[in-house]
Amino acid sequence: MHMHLQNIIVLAIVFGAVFYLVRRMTRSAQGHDGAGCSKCSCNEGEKKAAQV
Amino acid sequence: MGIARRRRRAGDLPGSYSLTALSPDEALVQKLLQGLEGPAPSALLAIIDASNPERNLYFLSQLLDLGLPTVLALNMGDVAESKGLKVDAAALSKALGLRVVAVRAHKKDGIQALAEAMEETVREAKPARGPGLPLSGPGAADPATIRGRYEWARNKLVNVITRSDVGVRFSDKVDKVLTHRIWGVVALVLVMGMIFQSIYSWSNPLMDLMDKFVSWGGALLLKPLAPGILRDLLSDGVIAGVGSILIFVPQIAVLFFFIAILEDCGYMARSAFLMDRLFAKLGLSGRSFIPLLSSFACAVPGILATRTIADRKERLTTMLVAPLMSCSARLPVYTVLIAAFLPGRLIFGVIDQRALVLLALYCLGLAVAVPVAYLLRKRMRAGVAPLFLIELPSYKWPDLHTVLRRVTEQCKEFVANAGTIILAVAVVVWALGAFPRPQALLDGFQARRQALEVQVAPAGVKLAEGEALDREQQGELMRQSWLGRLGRVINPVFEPLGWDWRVTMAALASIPAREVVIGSMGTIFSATGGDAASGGLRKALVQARRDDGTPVFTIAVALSLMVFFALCAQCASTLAVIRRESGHWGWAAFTFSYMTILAWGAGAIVFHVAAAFGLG
Repeated sequence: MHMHLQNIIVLAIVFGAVFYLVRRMTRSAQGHDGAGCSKCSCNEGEKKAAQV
Repeated sequence: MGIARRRRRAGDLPGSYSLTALSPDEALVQKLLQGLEGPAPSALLAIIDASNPERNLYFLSQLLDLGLPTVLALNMGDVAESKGLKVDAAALSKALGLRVVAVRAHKKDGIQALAEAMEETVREAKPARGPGLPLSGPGAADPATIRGRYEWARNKLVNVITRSDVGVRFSDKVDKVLTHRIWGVVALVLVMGMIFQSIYSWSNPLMDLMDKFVSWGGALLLKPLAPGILRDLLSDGVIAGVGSILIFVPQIAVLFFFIAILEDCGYMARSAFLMDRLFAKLGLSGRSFIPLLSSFACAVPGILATRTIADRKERLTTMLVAPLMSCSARLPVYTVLIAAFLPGRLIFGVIDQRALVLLALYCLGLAVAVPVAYLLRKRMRAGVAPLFLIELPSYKWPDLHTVLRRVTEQCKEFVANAGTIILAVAVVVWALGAFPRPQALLDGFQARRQALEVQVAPAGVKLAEGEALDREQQGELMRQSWLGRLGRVINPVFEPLGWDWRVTMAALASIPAREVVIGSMGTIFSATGGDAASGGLRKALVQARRDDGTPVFTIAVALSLMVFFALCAQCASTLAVIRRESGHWGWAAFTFSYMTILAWGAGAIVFHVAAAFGLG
């Protein structure tokens, strides 16, 4: 594979990883635990349960 | 649920004993049913335990006083019969004036009949009628009201239940030993010891298989790629990072297999009962032990489980010590270091020394949580622990389906973490360790390599010298990288724990999620000449050398690292949940600070003590 193409792919992967980590940490800071809906404590599930 | 082509929306609420709320989860049930948080439900399905009808009818009396159309599901009739109790569903239905369906939920018996009864009740929309006693205000918890509800329940059960003598039951016989104040604790330690022993003996063949699979997958991925930066990223970043954590899936599976068995057979409730005695002396109760027990799997559901604790100070204390329990994310850290640095000697010819160290690390969290909880309670000026009541379920054979579902869920989550956060951190750590690449340094090594080629020496010697030169170059590049520079600036803080800057950087990279450390160590030590890319992280750690040629890891360093990880709060999810449940960022910051200081102090003490015993 051409050297420049390799560099571009690596750069994209590294920036993608940084973006993902920053987004995840920001979500944690907003109060979402980042562990998926089943574990999230935002009570959305419980509020939905009220709309039976 | 679909009955006769009609669909209804159903919601599940937390299990409760009463509508006079004490704990946050019961308060939520009360608010939802009374329509204080959104619209009230159009009908209710109350599922009660047939083996304890009087207490359950007390709660039902409150539900009926809500005046909603209600169906009653009479569950666990088989358990009731084993206790010599027979509840006549038809007679109860007549006495209460509502539809009563006998079900056995775990065998799915009676579910169709229940669905039909619910459909008819919703269609009829006939309000249920209870004893008409107060549901809220000071009168709701008045002794006269409580007596009135129990009297109503007893009256409804006349001619509904028949009792027969079944002698001493199997569960009661077993409980004489397992809940005994001495034998019970001995049994608990033995059970936990057996679990940790099996984590090693059962999972090793599966881990070897996983290791081979990861190596095979890695080789397949790298095959079409020519040497270059992309190949380096995949081999030293992605495969070394993610591959080294994936081989721990079998251990996670074995751990959760046993936890699920203990939960499903009814033993976990007994362990909470045993711990209540110890916890009561420290101002906590067995009610705190259940969230702490859940935290051995993961602190996030453990902290959510504190919603069942009515006393706010007890709840907050439990929440703040829950992350001290050794969660499943710590297991790979323990096992990789134990396997690499502790010999698998047998003690008394039976117990594996490594299993014993693993058990000690799990006990460490609980042992530290006890004085921390005591100090927190004292600081909060909390009084005596509230009375702890727990229903001990009858022992039963674990349901294989439930056990396997739990194991699969946990393994899926572990793999999902490896594919997201661990992968992302591994890529970032690799980039920090791979750049910048000073041209002058590369040119210098290139010149030395050319000089080696023209040198007159046997081929074997030249090859060995070439490999040594490659390792030297990798080490020098890592030292001059951003990671290396940052590591050397921060490392003095962690020197008292005996850590090299690479260990420090791996530990710091794992602040978002502690299991990341394995991936980070895989990336860092593979890039500095180890063999972590093929899954041999243990070998890479043993071979790693400092600048002066001494090993990076000794038994003392491994112990200090494990103790640090056992006590440190490296989990963003846990801190976010503490913030959410306590309602304040201050408590999350406090948890992170006290645990980090505690981990640093304990790590330093362990390192110096172990070094004094000649293990450094």
